[in-house]
Amino acid sequence: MFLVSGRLRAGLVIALVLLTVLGVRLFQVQGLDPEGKAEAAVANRLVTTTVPALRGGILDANGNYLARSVERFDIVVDQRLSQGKDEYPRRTPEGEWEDVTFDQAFDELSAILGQDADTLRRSILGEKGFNFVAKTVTPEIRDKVLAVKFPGVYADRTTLRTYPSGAVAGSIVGFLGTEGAQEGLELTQDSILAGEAGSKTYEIGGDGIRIPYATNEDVPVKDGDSIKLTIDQDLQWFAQDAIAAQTREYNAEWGNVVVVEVATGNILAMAESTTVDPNNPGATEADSRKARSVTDSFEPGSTTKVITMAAAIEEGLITPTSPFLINSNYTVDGQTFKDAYEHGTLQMTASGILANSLNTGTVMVGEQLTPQERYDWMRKFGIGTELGTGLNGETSGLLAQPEQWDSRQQYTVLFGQGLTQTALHTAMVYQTIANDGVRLAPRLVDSTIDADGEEHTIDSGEGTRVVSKKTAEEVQRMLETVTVEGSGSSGALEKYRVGAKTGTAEAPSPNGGYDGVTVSYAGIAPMDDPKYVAVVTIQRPKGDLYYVEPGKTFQKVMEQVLTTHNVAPSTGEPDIYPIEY
Amino acid sequence: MTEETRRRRPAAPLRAVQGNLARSEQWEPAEPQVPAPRRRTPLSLVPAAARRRRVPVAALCFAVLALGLAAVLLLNISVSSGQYQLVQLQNQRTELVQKNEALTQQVENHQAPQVLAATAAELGMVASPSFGTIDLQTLAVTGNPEPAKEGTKREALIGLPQVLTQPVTPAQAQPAEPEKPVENVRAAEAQDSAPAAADASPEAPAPATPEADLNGGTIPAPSQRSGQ
Repeated sequence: MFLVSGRLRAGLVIALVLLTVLGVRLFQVQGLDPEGKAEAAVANRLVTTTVPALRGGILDANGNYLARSVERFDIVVDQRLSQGKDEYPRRTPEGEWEDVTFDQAFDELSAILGQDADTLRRSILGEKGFNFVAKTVTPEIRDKVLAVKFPGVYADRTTLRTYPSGAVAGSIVGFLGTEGAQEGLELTQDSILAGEAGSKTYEIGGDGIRIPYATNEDVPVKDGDSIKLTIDQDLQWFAQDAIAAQTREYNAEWGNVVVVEVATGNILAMAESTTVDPNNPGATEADSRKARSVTDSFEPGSTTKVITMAAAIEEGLITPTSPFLINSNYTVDGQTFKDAYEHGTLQMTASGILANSLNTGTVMVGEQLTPQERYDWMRKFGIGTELGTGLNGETSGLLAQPEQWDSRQQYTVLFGQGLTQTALHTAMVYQTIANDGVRLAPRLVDSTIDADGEEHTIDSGEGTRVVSKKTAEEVQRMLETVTVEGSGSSGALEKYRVGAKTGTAEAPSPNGGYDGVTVSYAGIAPMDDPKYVAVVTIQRPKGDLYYVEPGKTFQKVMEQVLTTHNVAPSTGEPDIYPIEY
Repeated sequence: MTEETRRRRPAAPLRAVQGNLARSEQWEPAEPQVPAPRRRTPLSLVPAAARRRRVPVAALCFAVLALGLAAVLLLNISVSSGQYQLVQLQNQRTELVQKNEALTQQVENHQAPQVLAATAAELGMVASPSFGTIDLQTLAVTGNPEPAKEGTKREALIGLPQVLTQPVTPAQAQPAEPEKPVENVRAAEAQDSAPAAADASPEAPAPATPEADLNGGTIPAPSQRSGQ
């Protein structure tokens, strides 16, 4: 520095000073950034997009999809890109350029999308930056629309929830609405099915193009898990068809069929007479969109007599062949009970009382239990307790505390009036008897399947022992007696031994009192080794009750269940008790 | 050696000393009594040891540089062409996945129990009224299964699945275009199975085939995905 001449030195000094000024300013703007300009600039460029998670599916017991999300596209348009023009260039398949007028393009699009050209014109032309042209379009139609190459028209990927089997199991599967899941397992299992959305954060420039080598954060998306049900799709359809036919035949309010596997508690079919098609829920009325088998409770009637008998036998108060002298009326505690039909004095065994569904005899048997005992036995068999299937709107029915029972109700509960329960409750009572006295929890959701395919079976726990094996076997024989000698004969099968009980209960009217009846048929088959329970319930059938036979639906459904599962026909004669002495 | 020196320094005079060799030569001393002044050995260029023929270093460096550049170029070309292949395969994959999806939906539709039953009914099939049993151990047939008789078609009480396959027109703010329930019409029509990926819309006047637009080249452009 000291070697250079004066002018050069002065120049160097000025240059250094300027450089220092520049350096300080640079440090100020870039390093200190007191106005936060750098941050604001990055914030302008930063874009976060969410990557939606793929919703899990709902499968039936054999792996068929009852609900599945598929890829669809929304055709959207940026109207600003086609302003002020009336034609655009496009390549023909031969590679030549041609000019396509908007009118021609609208004609092509209307043929593809099935809308008329005026609607398309209104949705495509304008000044908005974003407008829908068509929604949930299949990939093939999307390809065709994009091939028209209308300026500004592009496709956004979206998903559509499809229910390939439609109304089969529709009441169980549920459906989605615009705000998310609305009903059924779609709603209650939403946390499992929905998964977690991911996000991508990146920077885009002013022209909308992504800036490479800039911020690139990626939160991976977690797809939803699928759930596998115990429902068999084909049996469900068969049961739905059968009960719909019978409900229509009797002009009833509703009907349902519940089929339960005895050894596991798996619900194989839960069919309603009117089922919603989740693809189009609006087509069904609002109160028919749920599974009535678990949401609608009714007074069960005579199917409850099996609990009275089982309790009395277990308590050692009676045996299946205990003799009872029965008149048409029976009075106890100032309450008189009569049977469904007039009869003289009968000499019936306990099995005979069950076979002919005699209220008088049932009260004679059940009065030997204290009210608390009656209540406890009902609770042990699951009446008034939560079912736990996981469906929304599920009800546990109504079983009042014994202290609240009035002097009549304490006896009517013995034959199923004065309490309410659902069809599934009835099925689980008979499942207990069929399973040698061990009550299991009803299983609807069998397992969850991860996005990577791993299956996790849901454990429903051990069952609870309700009655001893011996008692259960005796009650099974009594039920077979009902089928062979009594009211259960309407559901008897040709090739299989059946044990069943019918029920005809007065249906409480919403205005107080009773109005109409609820008929039911609960059956177990085959009695040589009970495997399946089916319960048919029909609410308020019209016409002469003599001709109302829910047993017919039981026959159809149970035979279908047994032949589907290749159950060998029963060999040997039915094992029954004498009904009279 | 003499020849070499001659080659190297043709103009140099003969000297009394050649390198470090003294020549023993007869010569007349100019002053026999005066001792010769001590002379420093004059410095002269010594030919180096014989060198083998080698490529000059510069050329070697150039060669290495050229090779390096060529390698980088080749690498880039292969990566780029691999990238083109990748894009092409990804496009193919997307296309196949979509085709697979469409066919799967068709299969699911055919597998739906009510559709199966309807198709069977159309073929004239009826439910079997009786069944027999074959014991697989003893091969004995029990029961008396009878051949099914022709029956009348029962009305289907469970509707066909109304899976949405047609585009949905969004509700416009202008003069109402009601949302077309096209899918319901399709389902309510004849009982033949509704194709899940329907392409029922008439082809004319369809535009150019929806093949990948090659823009005059041979390699299709990668498909943009929104948000990428």
